[in-house]
Amino acid sequence: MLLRYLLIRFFPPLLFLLVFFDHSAIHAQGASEFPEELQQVTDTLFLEEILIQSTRIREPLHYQPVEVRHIDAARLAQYDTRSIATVLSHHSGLFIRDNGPGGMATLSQRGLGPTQTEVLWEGFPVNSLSLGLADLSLIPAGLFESVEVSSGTPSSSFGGGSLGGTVWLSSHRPDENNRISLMQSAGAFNTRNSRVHAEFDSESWNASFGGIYNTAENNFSYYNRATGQFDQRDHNAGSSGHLMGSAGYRFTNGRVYTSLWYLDSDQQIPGSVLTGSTQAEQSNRVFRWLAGAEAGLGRWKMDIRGFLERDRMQYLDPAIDLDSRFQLDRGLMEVDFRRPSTGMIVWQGGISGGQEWAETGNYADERQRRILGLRLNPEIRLPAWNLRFSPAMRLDSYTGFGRVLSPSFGANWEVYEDHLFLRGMVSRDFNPPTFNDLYWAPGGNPDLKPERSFRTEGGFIWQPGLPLIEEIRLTGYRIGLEQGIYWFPQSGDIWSPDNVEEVDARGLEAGLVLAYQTGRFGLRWDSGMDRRKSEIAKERFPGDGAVGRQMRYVPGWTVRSNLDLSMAPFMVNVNYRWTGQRYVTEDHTHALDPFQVLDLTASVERTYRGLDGYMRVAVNNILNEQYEVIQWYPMPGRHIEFALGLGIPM
Amino acid sequence: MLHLNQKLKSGTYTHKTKTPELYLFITLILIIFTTGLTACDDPLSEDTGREVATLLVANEGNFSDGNGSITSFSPQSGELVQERFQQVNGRPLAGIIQSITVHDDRLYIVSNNINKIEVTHVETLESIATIEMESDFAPAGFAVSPDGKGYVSHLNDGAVYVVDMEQFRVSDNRIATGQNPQEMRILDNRLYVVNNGFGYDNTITVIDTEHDQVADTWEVGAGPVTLKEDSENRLWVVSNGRKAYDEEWNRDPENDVNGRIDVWDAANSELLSTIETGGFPRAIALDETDARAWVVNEEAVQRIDMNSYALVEEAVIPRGFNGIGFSEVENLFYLAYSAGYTQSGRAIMYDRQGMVVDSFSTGIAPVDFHFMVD
Repeated sequence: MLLRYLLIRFFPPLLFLLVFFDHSAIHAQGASEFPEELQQVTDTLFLEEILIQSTRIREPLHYQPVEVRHIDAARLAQYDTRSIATVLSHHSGLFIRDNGPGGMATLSQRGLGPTQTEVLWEGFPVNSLSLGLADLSLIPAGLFESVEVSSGTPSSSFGGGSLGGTVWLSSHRPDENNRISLMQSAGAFNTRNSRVHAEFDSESWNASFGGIYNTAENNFSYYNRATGQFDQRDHNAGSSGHLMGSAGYRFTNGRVYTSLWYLDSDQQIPGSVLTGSTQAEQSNRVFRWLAGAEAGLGRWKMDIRGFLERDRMQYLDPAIDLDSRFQLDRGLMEVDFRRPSTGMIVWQGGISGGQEWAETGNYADERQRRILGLRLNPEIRLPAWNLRFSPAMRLDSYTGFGRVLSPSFGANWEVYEDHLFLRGMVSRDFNPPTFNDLYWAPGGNPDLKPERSFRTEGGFIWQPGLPLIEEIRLTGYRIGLEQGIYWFPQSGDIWSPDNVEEVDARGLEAGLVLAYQTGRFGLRWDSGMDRRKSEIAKERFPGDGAVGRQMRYVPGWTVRSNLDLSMAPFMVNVNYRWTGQRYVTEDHTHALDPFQVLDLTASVERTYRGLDGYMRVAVNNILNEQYEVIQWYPMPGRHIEFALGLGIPM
Repeated sequence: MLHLNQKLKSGTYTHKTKTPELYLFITLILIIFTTGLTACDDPLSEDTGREVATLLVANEGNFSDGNGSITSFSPQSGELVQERFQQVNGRPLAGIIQSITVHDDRLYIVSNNINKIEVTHVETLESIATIEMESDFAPAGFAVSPDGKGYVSHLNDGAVYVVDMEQFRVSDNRIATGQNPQEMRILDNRLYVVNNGFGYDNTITVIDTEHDQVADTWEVGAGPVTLKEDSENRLWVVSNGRKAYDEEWNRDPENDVNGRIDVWDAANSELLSTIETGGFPRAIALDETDARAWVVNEEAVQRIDMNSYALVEEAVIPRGFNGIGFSEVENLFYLAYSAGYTQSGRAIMYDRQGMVVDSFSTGIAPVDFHFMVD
């Protein structure tokens, strides 16, 4: 037992360090071992230089002042109908608080909570107005072309909510390869997934359509620590349908575009394993629509965009006579100005505003708030010194708590051209209270102020341009959260929130990418290790036992490693994650054990008479690890999924 | 830890000459001193001839974490064991503790969320059986009648169910009570059930355990939560009251219904007194030797004269607690302090003057105590 514990506890970090330094040694010894042309990887894996959107600093990834992970279309295609939560847990430093198949999955970034990271769809927030978080289990990867995880995006970019950064979802952008693709998969626990996707692009018009339908029983067996035996997860079936359509028209001096996203989900809610089967069910109907127009106005470019969202949720539990319904609406507008320039300063800024409404029996009345934001975020380039600065200032005004000023300053120094980039940012950020915090009845506190934080981060990207080693990244950060919202009993048994929490979050994020290709064979090994310390800095009440201790459900260490092997037409992906201990109680009297998960996916692609076909087999949790990310919400053991796909050119 | 047996404090002594007289003198002093110590011993134990071997603390735990637990503490040795059930049985209690009941040599731990009653040996906490319930059964209180029948209250069903204690199974024998029944007590052949109604009921259902039928219904304050019996067969019923909110769920103190204490003569079903405590009391402990009842109210611990039924002190201790127990052999009150549902609480011991004597750490959200006396 001790040996197993030591292995689980210490082996993955050691392995990472060994790999890290071992390959540094390889680089030092064999820098000229591989010819230049072999440094390319297969086209399905190569990350093209793209302009990052999640920071509002329109530069490629390595010129950003903060850490950004870009997950591209080729990678997302491997996950098809699986949720974005799976993608992020495999390929980013986010810690996904996964309640298991069929359950909610939220994210924790840099030791902060799910309400403190903003999930954006093309720049508009999709976090729930009531809870303040996004349920990633309801967002399938196949709907999107790319995902960016920017742990350093300040509030000066998109307004409040990004104390722990942003996750940016990009819709498909049709290219000249007009086609229809179909996919059908089946797997353990009676899981069935269907996907259809079509893209059309002409000189002026483009359009895309995606549809995904999932059903699953999710009746997996698990080891129940409470009873000491294997049980089966019951009352955990669900189905969901997702539609996304986009269309655009290009004209001489600009374009107009629109996208629709509809979600229809019905899910049985089993609760924790302690409660056993229940009668609880949840349904979500979410409609999102955005539309915009880009045009040139002299030397300026202007982008006017609008966003509407209606989120209807119903939670029903006849056993306790509970019927909880929410209707949450958002209407937002944004006007962006940008003056492209080859000179020193690129001026840009914007005005945004809108209204948010909530109607539910859980609040005493219909609630709403209006938002107005002004932003100025020029980009300054000093080519002579290879320096880029990104100062920004944003003023947000909310009905309720008033105005908030969010300044930030970022810098990027290209120390060695195309190879070594030093970067850093300081920012003052905020997170508005959620509607539940403000208006939950009883207990909501309408006098809440926004959470504030002061964030600094710095690090480097080294792309040595040598065989095998593609990239080494290291980022350190520190976030001081003030006026954090904390719920506690303030009037007898009634819980209320107040701005009493102070958190000191700091950590290191390290990454290493190895790549190699020769002939048909390609290899790409992307590993990362995160160290987080996120502690309550000040007593929230007399005798607070949490001060100076790691916060609940924040693992001190996580390690991930993703290996892609390709030899056309075959491809193998091996993904390994190790997650350290998570405390369940604030005073560390209870903790969940570390766990490790190893997934393997093998696929083969063939083209026949213009038709692209593929077959994929995924074996998840090969080690059959019995684990819980959230206490009493078990994860499935080893399980398999098969998928068949077909691409039809038009 | 402060122990009742105080330790001797040694001093320093220097001398220049050693004579037989001096040795004799010192020996005599030591004999007298140690004899005196033996005679004095623990003044509280001398009174009763007993001592608290172990006390058990029921910690409610956090709903979503299911980490209710039992803490055991030995005042004499200072030995403190957290999560004792798990330590003994190798599995967590895994539930939200609603109540603990001791009958004969057994401890019954009632947990909802997981909906079960763990039956253990009271001294060792070794598991004897688990009484499991359906997922929609919300057990709250438990009691065992003199003839060995078990009763469990169903919080959401307005009823008490008879439990087959040989099969450890909840029977279909349902006895209707008031709204949201919680804690229960058995005196003679009567089962007393508090009908909390979350502040909207104000009754005690009295059930004849021979025939499993309702024998009487008492009217008490709004939202009864607990009841304690004394040696004179009086039942002290604590009603929590009800907090009022307006249509927008803002607090509306003017329409609050305050809690109170009702004292009933159980044998004659006669209301002896109603004591207006104000506020929202939630627990009571009876110190019959001193004829004082200590009531845990929202912001303070109050003291009641058990003879005159008068509230004699508004705030013996000016702070709120989760629960209270009285250790009659130590003459100490144990008060349960909760630091929320995500960190450990504390049990704080007070003497009769309301002075802190000592404290120890408990599990999450301590609510109740049981004292085992040698």
